[in-house]
Amino acid sequence: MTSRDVITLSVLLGVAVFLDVALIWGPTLASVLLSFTSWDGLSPIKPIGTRNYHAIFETYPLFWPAARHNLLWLAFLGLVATPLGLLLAVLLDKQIRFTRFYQSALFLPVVLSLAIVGFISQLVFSRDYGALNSVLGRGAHPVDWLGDPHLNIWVMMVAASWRHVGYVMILYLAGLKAVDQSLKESAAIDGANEVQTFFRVTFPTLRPVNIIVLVITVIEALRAFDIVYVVNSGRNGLELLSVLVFDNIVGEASRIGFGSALAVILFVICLGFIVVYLSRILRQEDQ
Amino acid sequence: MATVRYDKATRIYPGTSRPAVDGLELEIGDGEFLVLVGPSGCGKSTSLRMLAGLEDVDQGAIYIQDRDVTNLPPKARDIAMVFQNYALYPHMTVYENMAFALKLRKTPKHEIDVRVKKAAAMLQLEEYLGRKPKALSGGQRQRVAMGRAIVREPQVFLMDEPLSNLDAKLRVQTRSQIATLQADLGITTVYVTHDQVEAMTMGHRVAVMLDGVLQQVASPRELYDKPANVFVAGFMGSPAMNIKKVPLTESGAKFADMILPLERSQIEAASADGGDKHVQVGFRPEDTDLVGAEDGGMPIHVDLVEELGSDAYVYGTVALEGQDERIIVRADPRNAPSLGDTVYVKPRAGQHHAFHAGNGRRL
Repeated sequence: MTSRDVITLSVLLGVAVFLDVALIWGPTLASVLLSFTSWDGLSPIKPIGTRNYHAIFETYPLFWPAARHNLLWLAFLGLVATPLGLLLAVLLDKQIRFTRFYQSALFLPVVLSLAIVGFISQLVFSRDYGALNSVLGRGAHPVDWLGDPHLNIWVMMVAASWRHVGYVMILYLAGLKAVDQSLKESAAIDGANEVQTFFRVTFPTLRPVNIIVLVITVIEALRAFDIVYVVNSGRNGLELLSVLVFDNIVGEASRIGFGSALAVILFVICLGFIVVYLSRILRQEDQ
Repeated sequence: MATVRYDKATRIYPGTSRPAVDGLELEIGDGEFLVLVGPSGCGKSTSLRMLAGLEDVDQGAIYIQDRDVTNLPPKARDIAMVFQNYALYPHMTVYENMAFALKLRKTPKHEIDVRVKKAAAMLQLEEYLGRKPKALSGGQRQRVAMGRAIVREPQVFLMDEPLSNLDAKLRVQTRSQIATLQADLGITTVYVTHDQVEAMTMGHRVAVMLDGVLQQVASPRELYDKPANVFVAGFMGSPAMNIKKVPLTESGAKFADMILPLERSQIEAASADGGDKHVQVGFRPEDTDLVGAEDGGMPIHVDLVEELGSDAYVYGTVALEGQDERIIVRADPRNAPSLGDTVYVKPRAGQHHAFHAGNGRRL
């Protein structure tokens, strides 16, 4: 390398590394450090050890419901929305009639932000002026889809899935298009029926897509925030960890240390899933 | 083991009017090694895929051992296929790849084991059984694809250009291995290639196709000696036969200053059907002799000499009907002419071929 190369490389790499450190690693590390302190944003930062974590796990009434909701959200996306997206991708890959139309229609929600999805879901699920109650003819005894704390989390997950299904579908569709056609033909000659061909030949070759979809599903489930926030600010049955983080750090309490501790917990959960999965994949790769 | 019969089998791809395969009639004997050969787009692969059940048959029928398989799915035809890119399942080991079809048929485990190991031994794949395709060389992958077909013990082997992804040396080596293997197993084989050397060396019989139409099916020898038309004559043999359209005289074809003698019946046939007093004659580069200037050969102005060691090919031009036409002849490599020389060439007696000037059929 000439000295010119070195300069070019360091400038190009340097900017990227600087931004990465300043905007991602810095705040992440700061969150971790702040989670062991008490700070309201103005007065001096007070280190208090693990007291925030003790408080979260033992006395904070909203933590466990929120954590439960997040895990439920993850399970719903992972077990319902993602397989549904895969199923749609497989159907669309068959070049049925109007494929292009279905593809666009199903993908459309993905370009909407979750806040808009939340807003649209209000139009559909609102107790008084929502479309669903009218369609069901429950004008006299309306169901409070969004207000009932036993019901609203499910309604929100359906609304979030509306978007997630399209996202997963387009990823799998791209993956399926890239699958070597002769593999399917070979399987057909080997005597596999369509279901066997899919599960024993096509799906395993989609592994790179599976990794991406899993990571996206985990991230989407754990960072869900705006969709519930526009509905009712994430209260009354719609508590999520991200909402608690936001309320504590930005809200009136300004409990930045406490909020950071919640954020760290969210981060660890997220990391847990992905690290376990990736390490399993990489180990298989080595063999 | 089985016979295969195409009965006027036709394939028209949706949205096209010209058939990709047009009324193919072909019978393949039990245990025969038949090669389908032709330039790209001639319908050879489509014909093979119709037999495999991967492509619909729009008209006509296909029989395997007298059973009409025209509308049967691939799995009901009891065939095995080797694909050009091998189509090995990337997530399975070599063993699993070879066992897959047997597993689907619920073959007992120990029998699968015996058959896979036997095939692996035939193909020298034993030490690779635990590997994934990714960890194999091109030649090894090719052998796995063969092995996957062999363990099935099918009625018919189908091979779609199985050697075209190998380097030249390996291709020659594998060519003979496949031919030997097929002879040992005695399984009817249909083999598609665009390489006429593969066709000549491997096939018991060779079917030459062009534009979806079968041109000729014959033994390699017969294809070489008696091509049915101009296309087959030009396609089989390397370098290609010299074929030129020249005036017809009462005793033969006028080639430069020479008369290449034709039989009475040939001359009559050449004049019929709008022959227009012309005839197409051809002679192979290897069926010529270089002669002295006064021995009555045609003068050729040499513009390229290809030295292959065993042979030398002389490329040059000859004036035919006032136009320079290209001619290739084989010469003794130890005594080859040089660039710019004029040599005198005489096709060997009786070794030239005559075709109709209009329809190109052999006379």
